[in-house]
Amino acid sequence: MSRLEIYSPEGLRVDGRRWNELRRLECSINTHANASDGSSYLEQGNNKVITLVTGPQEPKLRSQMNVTKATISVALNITRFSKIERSKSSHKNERRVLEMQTALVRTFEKNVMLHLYPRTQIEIQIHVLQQDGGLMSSLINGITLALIDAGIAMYDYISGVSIGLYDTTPLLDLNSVEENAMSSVTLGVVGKSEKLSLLLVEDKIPLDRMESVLAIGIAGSHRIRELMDKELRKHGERRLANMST
Amino acid sequence: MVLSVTEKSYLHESLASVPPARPDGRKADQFRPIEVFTDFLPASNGSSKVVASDGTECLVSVKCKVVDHAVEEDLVVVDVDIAGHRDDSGFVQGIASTLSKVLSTQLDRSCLRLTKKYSFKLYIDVLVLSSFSHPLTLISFAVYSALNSTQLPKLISSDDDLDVAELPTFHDYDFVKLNVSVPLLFTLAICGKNVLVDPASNESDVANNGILVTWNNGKATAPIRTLGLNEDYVSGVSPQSLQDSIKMIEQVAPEVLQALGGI
Amino acid sequence: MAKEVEIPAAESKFVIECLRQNLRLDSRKFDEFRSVEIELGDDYGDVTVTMGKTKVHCRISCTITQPYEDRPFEGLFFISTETSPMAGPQFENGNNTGEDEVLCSRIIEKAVRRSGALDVEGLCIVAGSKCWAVRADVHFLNCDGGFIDASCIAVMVGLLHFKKPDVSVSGEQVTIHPVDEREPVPLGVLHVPICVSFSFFNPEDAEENIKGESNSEICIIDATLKEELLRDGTLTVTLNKNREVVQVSKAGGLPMDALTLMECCHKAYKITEAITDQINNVLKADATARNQYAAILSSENARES
Repeated sequence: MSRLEIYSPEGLRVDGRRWNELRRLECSINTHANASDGSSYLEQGNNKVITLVTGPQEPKLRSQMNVTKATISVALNITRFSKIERSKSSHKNERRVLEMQTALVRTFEKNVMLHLYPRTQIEIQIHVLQQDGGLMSSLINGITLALIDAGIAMYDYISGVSIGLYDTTPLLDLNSVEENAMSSVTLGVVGKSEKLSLLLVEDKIPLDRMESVLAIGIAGSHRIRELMDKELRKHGERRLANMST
Repeated sequence: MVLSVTEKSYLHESLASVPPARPDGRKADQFRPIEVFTDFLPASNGSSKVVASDGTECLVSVKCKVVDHAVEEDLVVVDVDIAGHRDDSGFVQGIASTLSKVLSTQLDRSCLRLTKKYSFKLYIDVLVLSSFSHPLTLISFAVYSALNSTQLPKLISSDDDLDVAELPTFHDYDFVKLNVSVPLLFTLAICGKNVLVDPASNESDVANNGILVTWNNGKATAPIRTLGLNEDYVSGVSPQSLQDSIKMIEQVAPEVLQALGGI
Repeated sequence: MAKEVEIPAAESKFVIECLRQNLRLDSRKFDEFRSVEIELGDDYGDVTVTMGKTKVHCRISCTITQPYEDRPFEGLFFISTETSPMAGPQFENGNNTGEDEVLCSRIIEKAVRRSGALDVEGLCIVAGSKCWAVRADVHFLNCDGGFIDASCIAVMVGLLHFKKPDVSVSGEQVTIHPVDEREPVPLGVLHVPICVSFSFFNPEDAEENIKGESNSEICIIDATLKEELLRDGTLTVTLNKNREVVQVSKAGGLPMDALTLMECCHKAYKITEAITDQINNVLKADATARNQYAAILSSENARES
């Protein structure tokens, strides 16, 4: 790893981006119309994520029912072939995956208007086809899009991005090479506000640098929200045009 | 969709009539339209996605690894994951074992041979995102197109390494297309005396039995066996139906291969 | 079977109304950490940490095993945090897949193990064949909130206090010297991470929280069990004395303003400093108590300073 120059003196990163540039973000919704009530396909750099939402529907088990609001469940399937090297074990029931599922459920519980759908369950299924760093943020973006496609009422978008700190320079939207070389922060930002729904730091970062990292992260998330919003509006226009003809 | 007893009985009778009247208007030997995409996962050597018209969707990734073939006996590993089914359920394990048996015995090992010591080992991962009808045919189409779009690293070191202790080295970016004949698996439903190809979910619900026919190298091969498609209508298979199904596959398989090959 | 702890509606309203009026049931201030009591047992690495009614016990032990093949120069380090019904009826025996249990164990894992608080390379005896495996077993004795904070302190004090038997290596021959023969050696602890948990409450409705500008969310430190059950969101910050953020976990929950979260981090740093000092004092007192006869036994002449 050490022979790679993570951030060159000229200010270029391994994949040629500058410090404040996002990776290519492409998304589409309603990709699996027959299989689910809401679906999205998201490519953030080399991350490829399919998200399927079914519901609100009657819970399969009586015990999962809440009489005042809907319950959300997230099933995260990280495929074995998602990384360059195929993983020997299946990732199901790994503690890391359970933790991510819980974090995602708790993130969206506060953003979906659950009180509108009492006694129901909203099931979110995520398939990670390929991962290349900043997985958690891609999952958040994918779920936001799929929930919108399913027509489930939310207060606002939640957009996620990861930021790394290389020496003293914050780098936006890390790929896996960068993620392995430095400490990173994952954010989930609500709409255009500066409110963080999710904040995960997993490695050491100087306390005094946190603020600049958060600032660039919030700006990046807002940009991602814009990109997603643009795609959704395009999708809406297409749908409307198809309806009128 | 859950059908009532009356609906099922009506459907069964129309499928058993001569000629069979299928609910979607297909002929007995007609497949549903499918969409196939290949080569969309740059981190895998080969990948494909097949979507059927009813929303059944199947993804396949092929990855390779260099192994010493004297040490590793199996050069093809198949892993099946069907969303909504537990990995240890009979349904998933049945499909996984059928597939891995067919592929590991019928894929030509010499295509994977690199040098006298080393071979490629293929990991074929199947992910079924949603399945409404029995997904085996679709999975087999997906595996077929994934393996036929698989690109393996190009060997640049010598292929005779029995005496020299060196690991194979590969070209930096050039690939060689994997050239291997891949078996196809067809599921057929038997209704009365009729044999129907590619049964939809409602047809499976009322079929008397299901038959699996394997097709490789221009002929029907083993395994040919029955598949349980439902629990209500199951009855024995007459030898005539078995012959009919093989005959039908002999008719349609070349067309299917041609269609899949055009991708 | 686990039994959920339920709080009557009247009581939950009362607690939240109190918080709105800047009051907590145990008369603490919002940013006041409960006083931490650290008790060291007779053996090395035997620690009980008490915070209010929360009681956590941690025992460090070590054995010799083979290192992982891909990391021949590193010893092994495990932390086991198993909850049992002893801590409270809401915990199930042998089932550690509950959301809170997983989060709790993952946070401690990240705070202590991933951050490299223990020098695992120092646990290597013979590269590739023999190394120490250090185990921290955390037992939750009583639950009144703040499990993560208390167990992190317990594990760290345990690691600082623990001493492993001395070994000498000559070639492939490894001799373990029993503790009564030769003075055991302490573990290499590189930094002391301290977790501080914050709980957030939303006094307004959800819309105000997301769309509003008021930022009126209530933020308290070191919640008790009741407060934990009623909270809308939580944040656990792990810091060390070198002003490094080791780990932050805000896994969803009430969206909070970024500046408020930064403030939380700074508040947490003050607490971290205080607790680290307390830990050092406790350990120093223990060391002197254990060695009170050292001066008599020593053959050296005490130097006048």
